[in-house]
Amino acid sequence: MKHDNDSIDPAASRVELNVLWTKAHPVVLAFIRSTIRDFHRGEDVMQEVAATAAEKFDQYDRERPFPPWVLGIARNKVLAYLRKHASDRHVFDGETVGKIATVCVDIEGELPDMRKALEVCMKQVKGRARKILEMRYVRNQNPATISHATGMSANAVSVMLHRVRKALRECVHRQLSSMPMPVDTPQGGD
Amino acid sequence: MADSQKFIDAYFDDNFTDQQFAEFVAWISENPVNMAEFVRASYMHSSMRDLLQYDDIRGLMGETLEDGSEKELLVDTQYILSMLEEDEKIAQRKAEEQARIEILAAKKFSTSRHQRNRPRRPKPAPVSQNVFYATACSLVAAIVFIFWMLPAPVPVPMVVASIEDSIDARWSDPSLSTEPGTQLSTLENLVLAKGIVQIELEGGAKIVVEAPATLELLSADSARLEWGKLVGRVPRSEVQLTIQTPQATIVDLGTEFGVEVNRQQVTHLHVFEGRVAVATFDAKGRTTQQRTVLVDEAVYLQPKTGAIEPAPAASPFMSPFMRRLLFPLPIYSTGVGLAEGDDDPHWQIVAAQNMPNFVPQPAIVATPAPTYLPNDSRRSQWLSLSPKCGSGGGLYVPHHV
Repeated sequence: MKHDNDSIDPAASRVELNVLWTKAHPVVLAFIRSTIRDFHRGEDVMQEVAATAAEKFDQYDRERPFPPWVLGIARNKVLAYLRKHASDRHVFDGETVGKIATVCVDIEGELPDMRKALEVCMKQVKGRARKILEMRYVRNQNPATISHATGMSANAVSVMLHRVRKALRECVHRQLSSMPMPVDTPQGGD
Repeated sequence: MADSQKFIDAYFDDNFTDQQFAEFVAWISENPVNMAEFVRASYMHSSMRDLLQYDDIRGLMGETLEDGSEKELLVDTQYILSMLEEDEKIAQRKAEEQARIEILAAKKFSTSRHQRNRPRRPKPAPVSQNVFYATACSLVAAIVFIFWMLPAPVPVPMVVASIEDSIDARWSDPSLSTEPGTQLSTLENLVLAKGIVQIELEGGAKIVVEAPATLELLSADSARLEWGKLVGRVPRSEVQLTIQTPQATIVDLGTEFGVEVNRQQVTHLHVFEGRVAVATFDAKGRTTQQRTVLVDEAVYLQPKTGAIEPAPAASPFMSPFMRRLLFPLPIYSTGVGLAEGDDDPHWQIVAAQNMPNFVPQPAIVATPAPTYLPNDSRRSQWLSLSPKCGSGGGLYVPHHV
């Protein structure tokens, strides 16, 4: 049942939106980044989602969970973006985007633990592997650009990225299955 | 999929071929388990960006403690000191620069004063104003004339393609050959008067041009089709091909497509494989419409309005476009010993005009029409669907088996 949203104090509504948005933010961003690979473009779309969520927050039915509602907005924004950039290489069609959004809602509950585990595991990645991760994830560089900067071949960069990610996935998996046991070190360093 | 995680990583790094991407999409859509695996990996990928960015910002704020323990998130004093030192250095550099400017200004002032104190030159002889203006005007006119007479920079033709093959082809320019290996350059108006040529662009794309057609090669991966018909094909995803027509630009997205520009400048575009992006322009060159045309889709691009309208997609057998250079098959008599009405096991009729549900059928030996030469089973054999295969009014495509 929908609440009478008109009766809600605007200041309280803003606080409520802030709380809900902060909780849903990681899964929405993950959804957008799963469909728009370029981090900067994805973050632009995220801004649009935030603006629309704030604008339409009075239409949100408080009886229902917030993540599916905001993921619906994100799905529409992503589809609009993909339509506009239809000539980009390797983009998902609308049906696949819809399925991804649905699964994001389904597994949203397990994501915070995964984040905590990843945070712990990331601290163990050092040396060259860390540098390459930073180039990929902070500087938004692709393997070809990283290869120019490091003198490695693009293939070697891709292989190294895959190995580090694999090690991190395994580390997260171990973390999640044996919480609160100590964490092993992923084999990503020099 | 052998290593799903490897594929997921390749997706995030856009390290895919078109085929691998198609396989990847099929895999994640196959079942909810695969989709969930992808979404979890996406979440990890996204979180890695956030965490590494966060660490990057922390790196600006202070050094990580040796024991790895959590430290207070305060701006590091060393960092503040280094910033202050930097400010000091900047201020010092500015002061030095200012001092240098002042010294130079003082020197200049001193020189000009010295010059003012020198004995004055004798007053120049008076020159009539009219003479002065006339001389100045003549000089300006001479300079303008010289620049006007200078030849404009001449664009240089560049070899950007070569003929891969041709059938019975002839350019309207008799000095230009259609033999395989003939190099083709930009700035040439290529008018194909007869036959078919297959051109390989240096960028890797191929175009099959069918006479009559007029085109110009613009670069190693683009051409302009003034009118006529061509089929563009890119063999690999990294290869690009752009075809310009009088009112549109067609960009392949890993595909094969046919373009025809008729005398009324209506462009007919048919995508056989993959997809293409198309944009139309009005008379002032402004983009009027743009869209992606998908596989088996055909559109008309209208001149003047730039409207993109759906067109009927022709059957693959009846396509108006020549997609490959087909050489005449050597035909041998296969009907030796067969009588009229017998099936010829060497031939099948695989398609028929206006019969979309046509099922391949064996060809049979038929009575020749009276307008043709008499049938000599040792040298030739008439093939037909009639009377076994119903109406004989269509156009049939025989296929040698």
